[in-house]
Amino acid sequence: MCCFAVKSAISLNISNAYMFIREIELLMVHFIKCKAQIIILLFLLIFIFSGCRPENEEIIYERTGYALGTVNKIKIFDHGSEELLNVLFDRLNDIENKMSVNIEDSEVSTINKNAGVKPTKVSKETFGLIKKAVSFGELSRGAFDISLGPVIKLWGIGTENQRVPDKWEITKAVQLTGYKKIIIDSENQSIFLKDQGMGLDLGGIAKGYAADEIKGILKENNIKSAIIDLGGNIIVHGKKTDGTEWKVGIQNPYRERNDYLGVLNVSDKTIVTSGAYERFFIKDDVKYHHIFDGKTGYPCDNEVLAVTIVADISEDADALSTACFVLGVDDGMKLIDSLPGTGCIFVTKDNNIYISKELKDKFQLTSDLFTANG
Amino acid sequence: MRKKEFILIGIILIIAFGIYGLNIYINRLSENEKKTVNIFIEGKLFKSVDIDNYEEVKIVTEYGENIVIIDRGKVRMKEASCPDKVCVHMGWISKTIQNIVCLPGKVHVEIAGKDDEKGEMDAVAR
Repeated sequence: MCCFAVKSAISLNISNAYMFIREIELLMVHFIKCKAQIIILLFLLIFIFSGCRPENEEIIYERTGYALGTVNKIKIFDHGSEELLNVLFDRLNDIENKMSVNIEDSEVSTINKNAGVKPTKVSKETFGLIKKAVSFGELSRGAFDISLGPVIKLWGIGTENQRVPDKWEITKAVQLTGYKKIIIDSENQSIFLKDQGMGLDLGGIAKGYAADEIKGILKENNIKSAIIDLGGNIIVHGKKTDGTEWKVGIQNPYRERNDYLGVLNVSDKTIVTSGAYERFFIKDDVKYHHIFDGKTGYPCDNEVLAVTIVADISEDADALSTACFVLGVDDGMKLIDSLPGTGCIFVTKDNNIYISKELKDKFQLTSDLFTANG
Repeated sequence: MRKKEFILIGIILIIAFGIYGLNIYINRLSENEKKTVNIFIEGKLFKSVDIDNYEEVKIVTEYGENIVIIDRGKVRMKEASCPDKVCVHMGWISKTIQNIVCLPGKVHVEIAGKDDEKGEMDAVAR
């Protein structure tokens, strides 16, 4: 039975090809006299046909891995390799080892241990990042503040110890915060926290910094098309291999993860969102999320549900997304409009969306739950 | 002599077209590939399950316990021993751009393959 099927398939193939072969035969009779030439020509034909695929795509290299307290996905669309992915993930681990507060002997943990005691000499990159973070503290007038370590630790949101602390505990923790009490010594490349009990937490900027570093390595390796996704902090590097712009969805705060409310069409940009929906716990019907207002020591409670920043540098976007969340729509929008090449999208609790000038023609709202405003 | 040549030409052409056809066929096959659910522990592949099946996967590690349910086209984290339960609250997922992550448990679930719908996102910022 099987044999019969094969035979008929072959005969079908022959009869289909017959007309075509006849035509070629006639041409050949005219033009080709040498047998060797014919054979060479036909072998060429074989190579052309068999090498021709409907979609001629490069191999995509992608990997998902843990680092920086989140899941990271890197996808390289051209000239990628497993070795390069190894280098990239090693770099992420390297940054985590220097900057995580969850690693006991990290540079940041050492700074915190030495708070109120002595300055800590750190690596060039940790020093540079802290310096930049403090400048964002100044720019946002404290809305973004890397010295909220004691408050973050007290609430413990996302850890086993999460709880609503007593008022006096919060007041005490707030007294131990303030970016102005971070002493930066450029000469000795050292950081000193003035008061004992103070603590830095780079959670609001380190992922952005890491994403920029990854992009730098990709550029060095001549990669022109890649997506870096560090726990939802996105860099779209270059353009898609077909030359079009990337489509980046903006998370719908009410829906399951990766269900988006709108689409950004961009290339060579970073997109970072801060939302009240990612890490939180609920106690007595009150939702406590992970973005704190440094002035009160409580989770930030204003009209903002989420804010997305689109920028060129992910480190900036990361810090600005937290800052804008705390500042609210009016002040946040003013801040963003003062920074060239930077745009933002606010989602508020009354389901309105506010888009900065920069992004008006790049953003498309896809969910009818929300109303877009200018 | 000439007749033999033509037969040879014919045979080579048939082989060429045969290979071409086979190529297209194989490419079609891989495009319509079924979606699979990949479960990772600490970034390493732990188990793959056809998304159209029904299966409960129990994961026990030093970080805790998770139960993943694959139910004919969709996946969710049914139970997790982590304190925040973010992964459980994520609910069902069914598209390749979606994933479930349990950070404390160091478990994540992805869907590999191709979605039917066009116009999918390249990434989602959250």
